[in-house]
Amino acid sequence: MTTDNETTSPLAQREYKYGFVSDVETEEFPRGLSEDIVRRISAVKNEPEFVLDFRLKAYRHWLTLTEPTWAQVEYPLVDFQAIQYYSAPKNKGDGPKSLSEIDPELLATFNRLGIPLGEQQRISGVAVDVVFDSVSLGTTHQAELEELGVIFCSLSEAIQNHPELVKKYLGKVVPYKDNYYATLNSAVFTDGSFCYIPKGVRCPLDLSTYFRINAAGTGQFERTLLIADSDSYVSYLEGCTAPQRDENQLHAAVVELIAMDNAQIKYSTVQNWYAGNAEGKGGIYNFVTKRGLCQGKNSRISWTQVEAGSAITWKYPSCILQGDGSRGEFYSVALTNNKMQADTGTKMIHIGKNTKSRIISKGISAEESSNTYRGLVKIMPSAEGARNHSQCDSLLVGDKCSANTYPYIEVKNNTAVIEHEATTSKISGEQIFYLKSRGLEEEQAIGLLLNGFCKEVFKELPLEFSVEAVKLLEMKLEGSVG
Amino acid sequence: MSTAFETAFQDLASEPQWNPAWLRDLRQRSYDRFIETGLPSRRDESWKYTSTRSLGEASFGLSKNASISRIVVERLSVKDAHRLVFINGVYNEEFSILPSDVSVVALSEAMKTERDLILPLLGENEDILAVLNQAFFSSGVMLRVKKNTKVQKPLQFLFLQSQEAAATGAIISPRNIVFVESGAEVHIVESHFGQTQHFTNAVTDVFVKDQAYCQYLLERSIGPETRYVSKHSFHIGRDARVETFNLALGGKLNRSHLEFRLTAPGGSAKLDGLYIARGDNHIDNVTEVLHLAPNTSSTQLYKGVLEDKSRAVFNGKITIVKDAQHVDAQQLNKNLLMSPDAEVDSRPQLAIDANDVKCSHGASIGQIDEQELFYLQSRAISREDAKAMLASAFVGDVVGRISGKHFTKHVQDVLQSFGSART
Repeated sequence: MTTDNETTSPLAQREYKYGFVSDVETEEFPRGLSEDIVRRISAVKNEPEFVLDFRLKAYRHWLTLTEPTWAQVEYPLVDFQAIQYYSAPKNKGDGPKSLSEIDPELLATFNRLGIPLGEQQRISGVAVDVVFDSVSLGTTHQAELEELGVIFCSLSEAIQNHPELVKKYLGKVVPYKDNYYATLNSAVFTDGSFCYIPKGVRCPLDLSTYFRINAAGTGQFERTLLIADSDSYVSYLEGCTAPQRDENQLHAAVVELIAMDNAQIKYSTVQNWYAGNAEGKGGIYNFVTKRGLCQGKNSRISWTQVEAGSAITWKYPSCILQGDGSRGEFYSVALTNNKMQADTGTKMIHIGKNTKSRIISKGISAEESSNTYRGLVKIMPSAEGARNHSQCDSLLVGDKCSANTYPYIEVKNNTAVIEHEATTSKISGEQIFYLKSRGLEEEQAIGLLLNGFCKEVFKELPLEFSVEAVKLLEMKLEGSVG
Repeated sequence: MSTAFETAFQDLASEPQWNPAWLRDLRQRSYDRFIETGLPSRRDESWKYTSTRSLGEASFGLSKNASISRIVVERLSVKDAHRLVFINGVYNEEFSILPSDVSVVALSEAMKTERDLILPLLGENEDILAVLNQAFFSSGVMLRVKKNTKVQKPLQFLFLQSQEAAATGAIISPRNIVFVESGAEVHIVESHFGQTQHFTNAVTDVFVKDQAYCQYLLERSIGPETRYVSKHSFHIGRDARVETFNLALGGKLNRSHLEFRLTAPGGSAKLDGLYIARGDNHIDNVTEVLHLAPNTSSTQLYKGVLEDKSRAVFNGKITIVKDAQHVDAQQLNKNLLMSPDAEVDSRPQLAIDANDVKCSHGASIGQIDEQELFYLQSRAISREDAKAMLASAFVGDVVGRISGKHFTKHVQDVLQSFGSART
C-alpha cells in the first residue's frame, strides 16, 4: 500500500487545479442586501422598468420566506448580509467593443481554464458566453449565429436589445415566488446567458456558458433563459469553476428552458465548483433551480449533468411535460468525496397526453461524503398514457460515506406506466482482482469500472465533455479506493 | 380538536380497573402532550399523503356495552387456533379460547399485576399517535412465550366492533406486548374487523429474542367509515427471524406503520403486504427497516390494487447504519390501478451509511395489460371476468409468499369475503 502511495502520490494529484485567483480590478457593491442594493443593481445595468419591478416583487416576497431545511445536507445558515451582490471587472473607458479589447488578465484566466475565448478558435465549433462573477465578458461566434437568426448573448444585453422576448419569458418557468433561492436570485440576478432559437433552425454550434467565480465574499446569481421555438434544436453546455478559498461562497442560479412544438433542447452541465478541502473547509454552496417547460407538442428537453464539485449541491433540474407527446430526460452522475454533500435529482411533472420521461441517476460517494438522490415523478389526471422509467444506482467507495435514495412517485391517472428501480453497492474486490489479473493497475481497473457504471450518462454528453468527465471522476477518486 | 377526545378521556378516568394509580400521571402527561401537539399534519414527511382531518372532526367516547353473536366471531376466527376476543376494545372471556402451553392474558388483567413489565415500555415517544395511545390504552394482549417453547397452534387477537361502538364514535386503543424468548416459536394473527364508524389507534411491541421465530399476520378488513391507525415495533435479536404479512382492506383511513429493528447479527425480517382499496378508501402503509447490526437481512414485497376513487400510499424506508456491513436488503412495491380516479403515491427509500451491502428497491405502477385481456377475451372469457382473473393473479403472487400452513387459507377467505361484499 505504501509503495502505491509513493508512486502515484494521490493527494498531490487530487488538488483542485482551477483554484487560482485572478488579479483583476473590480467594481463592487458593499456587502449586504437591501432594497437599495436591488435598485442599484438594476440601475447599474440600466434596466427597463419591468425588470426592476420583477426584482422588487421578488425581493419583497423573499423577505417573507424562511430558509428551507428539508434537504439532507448540513451547513451553517448563510448570512445574506455578508455577501456582495455585485462584482464586475472594471471596464477601461466605455467597455470592450470586441473580445480583443478585454483585459488580458481575464483572457489569461480563461486560457488557464482551457476555455478558448479568442475568435480565432472557430474550429472548436462551440460558441461561448463567459460569465465572470456578476457580468458576462463576451460571447463568441455571435455574427455567425446572427445569420441564422439565433440570438445568443448575455442576459443583460438581451434586456437592452430584445426586451420584448425577455419580458415574455422571464419568470415563466421559474416564477419569482418559486422557492427561497430562486426568489433571492430573481431579486439580485446579475447576468447569465440568453438564447433564442427561431422557428425551424437547427443550431449548428454547441452553445456554451462558462461560469467563473473570482472575487472573494461575493455570491454568484446568474440567470439563464433559453427558448427554442417550433421545430428547432439546440445543444447547450455549461461549465463552472471557482478559486480555492476557506470561506463558503453562495451560488444561487436559475435556469429556465422553454421548448415549443417539436423543439429539442439538450442541456449539459459539468459542474466543478471548488468543493472545499479534505476537512470540509471552504467550497461553494451550489443552490440552483433549473427547470424546463416542454410547452409544445412533441417537444423534448434533456438534462445531462456531471456534478463533481461544490461543498454542497442542492439542485433538481426538472421538466414540466405540458405539450402532448413531449419528452423529458434526466441523466446525472453525482460524485462526492471528502466532506461534500449532494442532494440532487429531478422532477418530472406529466401534464400532457402520452408524455414520456426517463431518469438515470448514478451517485458515487467516497470518503466522508453524503450523496442523496431525491426525485419526483408526478402524473396528473390529464396525462393519459404517460410513461416513466427511473433508475437510480449508488456506488459506495469507503466505509464512512452514505448514499440515500428518496424517490416520490405520485400517480393520478390509471393509464400511466411507472417503473422505478434502484441499487446500492460497492466496487467489488472480485471485479478489481479480475482486472488486475489481466494486467491492469488498480487505479486503471477502478477507472474502467467507474466508466462502466456511468456509461449510460456519459454517452449522452457531447464528446469533449464526455472525455473530460471521465478524467474528472478518475482524478477525484484517485487514492480513495483500495 | 381538544374536545374530540375530552369526553373519552374523562370516561377513562372514572374506570378504576383501566386507570390504576401508577398509570394516572403518565396518562395525563401523554394526553396533555397530545393536546398540545395536535394530530400530524401533511407537513410531517410521514403524513405527506394522508390527511388526519377525519380524526379531528369527530367526537369520541368510550364504548363499554357490547353484544355480538357467536356466529360472527366464529366466522372471523382462524380455524383451529387459540384466540383472545375484544369487543369494542373490551376483553370478552366468553368467546376467547386460551392456550395452555403459553402465558397470554388480556392487558386489562396484566395491568393489575405486571406493572414492572409494562411501565418500561411506556414513556416519551416521537410518534404523536403512539402518545395518544399511551393516554388511552386499555385493551390489548400481553403474551409471553417461554424459552425454547414452540407454540403449536396459532394465536389470534381478534378485535371486533358492535353497533354500540358506532353510537358513541368509540376510540379503541389496543396495546399489545409480545415477548418471544430465545429459541421459541409462535404464529400470531392480529385481526381488526370493525365495520362501524369508530377509531382504532393500536400500538404493538414484539420482542423476538435470540434464535426465536415469530410469524405475525396483521389484518384489517374494515368499513368505509372506519378509521384505523397503528404502530408496530419488532425488536429482532441475534439469529432471530420475523415474518410479517400486512393485509389492509378498505377503511376511510387505514394506516399501519411497521418498524423492524434488526439489533444483532443474523437477524432477518420478511415483510410482505397486500392492500386493496375501493370507494373512497384511503390506505397508507409505512414500513421502516432499521439495519442496526452487520449480517442482517430484510426483504419486502408490497402489492396494492386500487379501484374507484380510492387512494393508497406506500412509504417504505430502509436504513443501514454505519458499520452494519454485509447487509442484504430488498424492497419492492407494485401497484395496479383499476380506475381512472384512483391515485397511488409510492416512496421507496434507501438511506445507507455502510459500504459493503447489497441493497435494492423498486416500485412500479401500471394497469391491466390490454394484450392479456385481449387474449383471455379471445378465449371466450368476458372482459369483466378476465380483469378479475388478472387482478387475482396479481394478488395471488404475494399471498403465495405467506409461509407455513396456518394462514394462507384464512387470508384467502378474508379476501373472498371482502370481494363478495362489493355490490
